[in-house]
Amino acid sequence: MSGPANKLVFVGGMGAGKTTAVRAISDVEPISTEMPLSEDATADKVETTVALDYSSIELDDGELLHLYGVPGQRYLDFMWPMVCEGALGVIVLVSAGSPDPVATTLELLQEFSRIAPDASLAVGVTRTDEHPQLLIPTVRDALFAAGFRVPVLRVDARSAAQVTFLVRSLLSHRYADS
Amino acid sequence: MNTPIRHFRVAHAGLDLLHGTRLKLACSLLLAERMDIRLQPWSGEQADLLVVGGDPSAMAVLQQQARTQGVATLRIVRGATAATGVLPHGASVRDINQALAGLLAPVGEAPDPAAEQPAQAGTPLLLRAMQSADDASLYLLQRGATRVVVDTATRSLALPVGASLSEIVPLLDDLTWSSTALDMDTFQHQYVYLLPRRHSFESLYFCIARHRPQLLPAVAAGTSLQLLHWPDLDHRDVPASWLLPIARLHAASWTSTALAAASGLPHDTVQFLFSAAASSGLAKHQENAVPPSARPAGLRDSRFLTWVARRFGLDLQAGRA
Repeated sequence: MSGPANKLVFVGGMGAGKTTAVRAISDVEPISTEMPLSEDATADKVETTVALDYSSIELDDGELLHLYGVPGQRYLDFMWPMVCEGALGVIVLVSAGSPDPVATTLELLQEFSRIAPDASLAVGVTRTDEHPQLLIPTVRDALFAAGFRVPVLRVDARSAAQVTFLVRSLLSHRYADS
Repeated sequence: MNTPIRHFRVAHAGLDLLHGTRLKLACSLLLAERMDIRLQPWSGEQADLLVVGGDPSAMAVLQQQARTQGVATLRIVRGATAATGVLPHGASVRDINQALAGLLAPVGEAPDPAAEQPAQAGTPLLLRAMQSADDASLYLLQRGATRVVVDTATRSLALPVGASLSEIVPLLDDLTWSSTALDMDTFQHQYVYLLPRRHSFESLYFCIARHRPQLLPAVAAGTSLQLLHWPDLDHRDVPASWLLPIARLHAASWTSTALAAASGLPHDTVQFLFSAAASSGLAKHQENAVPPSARPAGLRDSRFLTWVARRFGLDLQAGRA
């Protein structure tokens, strides 16, 4: 990698909020590869990302921060290394309503810390309003026990303020750890 | 827990047929919470609660009458959003039922010395309940229509939908809080649906650090500490300027003086962060910790990272000369 790390990657399973999070903080309408869901459709989700989401944020000097949303499903793992090359951060999004949010998160953290060793990691737990029993310290402590000492925060992917707070946490974590 | 039936008088005025009927239904459903309601038109006489609707100016007069008699009011107002003591026009039976339950719960409760603990000056009652030595306890904390359940087993608070920690924190040292121990069955049957939101103790401590830091025990000056984990933070309660010092505390051990200088924050603010860290159990104290050296200047993406941070409202250069 020759230039500065200039990508921010959101990864997570179906319905975790990747597309929504990318859209929440983008300057422009993201390029998305959403297709209608034929199975596993929920009341509020009728489409899913079949490849990736891409958008960008223009910085003060005209440089771009590239935003990606990539599905966490294994059959799409061939694109993970390409997307993560030059990533300054990888944010794992996990729905509190997923069957095993800790195991899902852990698997993605393990994969992406291997693929993108220079990227900082953070975790956003979405849909906690629908599944309030899942407490952030519980998730965080389980991840810590598995070797990941990273920011874990609840986030509503629809809220620009909350996604921004998560990104700020990741950036602060990266800066302080460097 | 065999809770005795409590009896209340609820007065109403200015309600149309729809809301009057819904109020009757909502009152009758309160028997499930062992609250027996006698509904009566408002005549200016004593009642436990007045439910008012209709013309705003008439409503204001009625509310003033009720206030002078110390009677709580529930207003049904066009265009309002639900809040304590207020419901929007068109409120459902369930909305009215929940609002009545919240407003009447603290009324006329005769403290049972065996079961309830009135608030005393000093550490707020809610914080004392959180620090209970019992590893698996549930406490119902009530102040007026405000209710919170403290769950020491999961180190979390149960709050109503729409209630935020920053609304609770300003009330913490009010002496009218009462505390009642709950068993799990009672909690599951009577309170889970009323208090469905969960917030960790950690997030409350950092919220207190923001809004009422004097309620937290101070950490001795000169103490070095490091955060064991990244805290559970709510974006509404933590300003952007706190994130870098929190990240630094997460990365290494600091004294408050050194961290304040490095972060460009007032020393008092950093002390509040230390207090929140210590109270929440996230602080790892270290003797004779060496303050971290300045970060390496040659970090590959430092300039770009600074631009990105600025774009997201973070000042990574704060505190740097």
